[in-house]
Order: sequence, then structure tokens, then C-alpha cells
Amino acid sequence: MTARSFATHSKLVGGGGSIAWGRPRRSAFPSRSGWPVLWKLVGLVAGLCTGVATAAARPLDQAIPGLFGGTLITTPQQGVPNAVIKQSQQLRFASQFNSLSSELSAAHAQSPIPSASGAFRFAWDPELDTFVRASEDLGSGVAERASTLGRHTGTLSFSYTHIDFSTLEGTPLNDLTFSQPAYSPNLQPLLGNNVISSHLNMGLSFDTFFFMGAYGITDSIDVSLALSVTEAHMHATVVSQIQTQNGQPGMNFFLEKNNVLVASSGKICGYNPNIPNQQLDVRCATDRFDSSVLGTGDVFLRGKWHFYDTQYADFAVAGVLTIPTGNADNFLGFNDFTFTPWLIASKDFGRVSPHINLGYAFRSGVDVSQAEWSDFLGYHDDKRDGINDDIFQSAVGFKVNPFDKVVIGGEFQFPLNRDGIRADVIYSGQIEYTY
Amino acid sequence: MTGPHPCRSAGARVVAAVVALTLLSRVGYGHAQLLNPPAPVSQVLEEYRVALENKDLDHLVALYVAFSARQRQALHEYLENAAGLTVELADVTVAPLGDAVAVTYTRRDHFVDRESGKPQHLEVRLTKILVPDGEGWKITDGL
Repeated sequence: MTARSFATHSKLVGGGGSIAWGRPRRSAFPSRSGWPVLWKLVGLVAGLCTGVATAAARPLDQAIPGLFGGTLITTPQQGVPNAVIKQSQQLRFASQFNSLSSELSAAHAQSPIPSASGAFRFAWDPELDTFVRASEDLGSGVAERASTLGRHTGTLSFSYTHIDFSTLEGTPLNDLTFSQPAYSPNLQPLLGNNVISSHLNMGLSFDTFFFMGAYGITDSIDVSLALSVTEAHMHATVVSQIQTQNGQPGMNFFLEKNNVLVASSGKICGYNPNIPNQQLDVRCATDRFDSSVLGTGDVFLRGKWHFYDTQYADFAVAGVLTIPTGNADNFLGFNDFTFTPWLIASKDFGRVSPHINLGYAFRSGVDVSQAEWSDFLGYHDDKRDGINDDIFQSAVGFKVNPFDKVVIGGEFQFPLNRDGIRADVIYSGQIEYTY
Repeated sequence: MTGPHPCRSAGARVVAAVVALTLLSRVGYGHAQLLNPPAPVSQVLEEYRVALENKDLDHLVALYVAFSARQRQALHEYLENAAGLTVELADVTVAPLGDAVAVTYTRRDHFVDRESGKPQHLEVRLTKILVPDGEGWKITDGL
């Protein structure tokens, strides 16, 4: 038996960003996480409209590899600016963050996007022997149901998501440590096996606004489009020290002249140009950055077909094409086109409406292909590099229908494991209008 | 040695599942017996269809052996909300069931939902049991 009519559902996946404006800062930057959402939106729109902000000095994915200008120079001779024996070192965590950029884009793309809610639907009631008009529940904020909007029905929605990443593979982002030999193996017999021990305190957050429109072409086919505007904020402070294997001060030094580090950026720890002849420990070097970028994101086009109903489950398939209009170098979008087919199953059983979404994001080798699912939320990388390989999230949320055609909702996502780069909580809010 | 590309094999599985479900969706309507409905049965169905379009509740109730007050209220609400209702009964098959007959058909309703002003197109495949009642037939039950 099939009974199909108006339904109410549609969701777009989001992420990304393109035209990028940035505000590189190398000084303390007051946290803006406390800004009300409205002020954030005003700031984002103003930035986009006026174009006052300038382009970032370098893309965000190069910010951490670019600490110390990309390299530190170690030498056994203190205070000799042009030491004969020296070795240029690229900090190893730089390469780790190079490989993290595509995973960051993928992680950002997990932010929930508006899920269209509907008003009512008709279903055949065998007991009453007639069709019955029923108000549709407002649905999940982060997953799809099989039902569609219905012919000539549309929704416009707007949502805000805040992601403040807090851990990397389970380690707090503000307490990352890395260690590497101070010299290459061929120099170690001569200069010893001191190590460069680095402590990295970093932060990365996204404030994303999604704009989405969905329309029912037929009773069972929806199309929709979504785009986003995102502000990404990243900061980091690194302190690198030359130590023995036991953690004692090493016998080697960073190359410096008059306590000034010989590097494209950074300084000897504690160096202050206003205090002349200050004696400092030249086995310690530090650098930092604080940058934000503002940009539009990738464009998401989606089609959904509600094709089959049974007593226990209704089925739909959906396809999402992601057009890479975002700036991947700033974690605002993917590098290449993505196509994600979805299989959606759901059913209303009184006040309970279980649903499951299974999808696979086909991406280029530069990006990360993923199997994705909900509920609960998660994805699984095909790039088995030990970073972001298996992501499991849970979500709670609410939706209310304060006016006839307006739905307001909020969702909170929590990590169920600590793989990859993760936020303790992902906050989202949305408002939707059905016409 | 090279194995199947993980993206490709996973993608193939998704595509296969979608194709399988699409094919399954077509199986549900298959019925072995295709009979031309006898004239009295056709007459009942036509009366039923016209009564729905005319929103003639009394006539509809008269086509049933029994019709509860709850059923009547639900049908009344449905018909009141369905502006410009047209009803189509298609793909009718009849199977003998002792003295009764089992009639299976596809019902398609087209109307405008008064509350929202949106056009609606509903479709359902139904089976009804018709029993002799005096000179004609009446609907007793559905499946």
C-alpha cells in the first residue's frame, strides 16, 4: 500500500568558502567567541559587502608550517650569527598539519545544515478507511527523512553554526607537544643527540552561516541549493627548546645574533627589543600568529526522490553535488567537485520517527572520500592516514513552530570518540520559512 | 597485487542497493489474477467513486455493511478539506472469495488542500471485500 503526498523534508549539507578576505594578526587578539550571533552576522555581511579587509598574508593551511618562517637553524656555537656548523630544521609538526588541511575541510563540512521541516501530510488510515490529514513532526535537525516537501512547496532557511575545535587525536589543541632530533643522523655523532622539543598551543574555530532554498518539483522530488559564509579563526603559539634526551637543557643552540633569532619569523624566548643587552636562553625560540579569514563557501546542489513506502520504512535517495567555490587553502571548502549519493530510510510510528541516512562522498585524491551516516552522526575516511579516520558524533536538538510557516530549531553535537580534530560541542541554530 | 579501489567498491555497493530498492518498489503491485470486474461490482465501485467526488456521505455509508461514527467523522473531515476532489479507480482486479469477491484497485485522489491551498495528489492500492446484499453488493472489509 502506498499513500503519498505532502511531506516535509529536505536538508543540504554544507561547508566551504570562496572569496576570501583575511585579517592577519601577529599580536594578541581578543576572543570573539562571546559575540552574539547577530553581531557576528553583521560583521560577516559587512566584511563581505565592503571588502574592507585585506587578503590574508598566507592561507590558513600554511600558517602552522610557516611558523619560524618555515625553518629553525640549530648550531653548537652560541652567539655566532654565521656559524660554520649549522643545520636548518623544518619542525615536523608542520608536515603533520600540511596533511591535516583536507581533513579540516571535511570536519568543517560536518556542521549541520538546515533541514527543511514541513507542515502536514496525508496518510491512508486502514482502520478509518480514508486518507487522514496529519501535522508533520518537525523532523531532525541533522538528518533527513524520506518524505519530500511536496509539489510546488518551497522552504527558505538560514542557520548559524559555531565550531571551536578543542582536541587533535584526543590531545588538547592548546597542549600539543612534538619532539625531533636537533640534527640529522649524519651530524649526530659529531654534535650529539639533542632534541628540539616543541609545545604548540593552537586554536581553530569556524562561524558559519548557511543560506538554503528548497523546492518540490513533484510530490516526490525536491531540489535544493545551499551556500555558506564562514569566518575561520586560527591562532597558535609555539615554544621550541633544545634539550637532552632526558629533558635537560641541551648543549646546542638556535642560531642567533645578539639574542635575535636568525629566522624569517619568531624570536628567542623572552626577547624584548626595548631591553638592551638582555641575556637570554638561546636554546629556546618562540613564534606565534593569529589570523582570520572570511569567505563564501562551496555551493551545494541537491536532488531527492522519495521513491518507495512500506509498512515499516519509507525510502528516498538523494544526490548532493558540491561545487568547489570555496577557498580550500583557508579550510573554507574542498579542492574539487564532490558527489555524495544518499540512501534515506525513515518512518513515523506515533511520536517516534526513526530514520537512517547512509551516504558516500566521492572526492578527488586531494580531498578525502568518506562514508557518511546518521543517526547517530559520523563518517569514515578512505584516506587511512590515522587522522580523522573514524568520526562518531551524537546530537540533541529541538524544533519549535511558533508561527504557522516558521520553524526555529537548535542542535548540539557531542563527540562520541576523539579521532581527528574535534570540538567538545558544535552549536547550531536555524530558522526556516515554508511557502 | 591490487585489490578493488575502496572508493569504487563502496560506491558500487551504494549504487547496487539503490537499484535493488528501486526494483523492489515495482514488485509490490504485481497481482497474478486479472479479471474483468462483473457488472455489479463495477457498479458498486462507480457509485463509491461518484459519492466521494460528490461528498455524499449518506450514499457512501450506504455502500458499506457497517460504518462507524468514527469512520464517518474522519471521512467527513477529509472530504470537507478536499476542494475540487476528483477520484480515479484504476487497475481493478477481482478474485472470488467464496460467496464474496476481493476487489483490488488503485485509488488516486486529486484535490486542493483547503487549509494550505496546495494541490494534492494521493495514491493508494487497496483491496476490499464485497459481499452480496439483496440485489447488489456491499463493502464489508478492507485489507
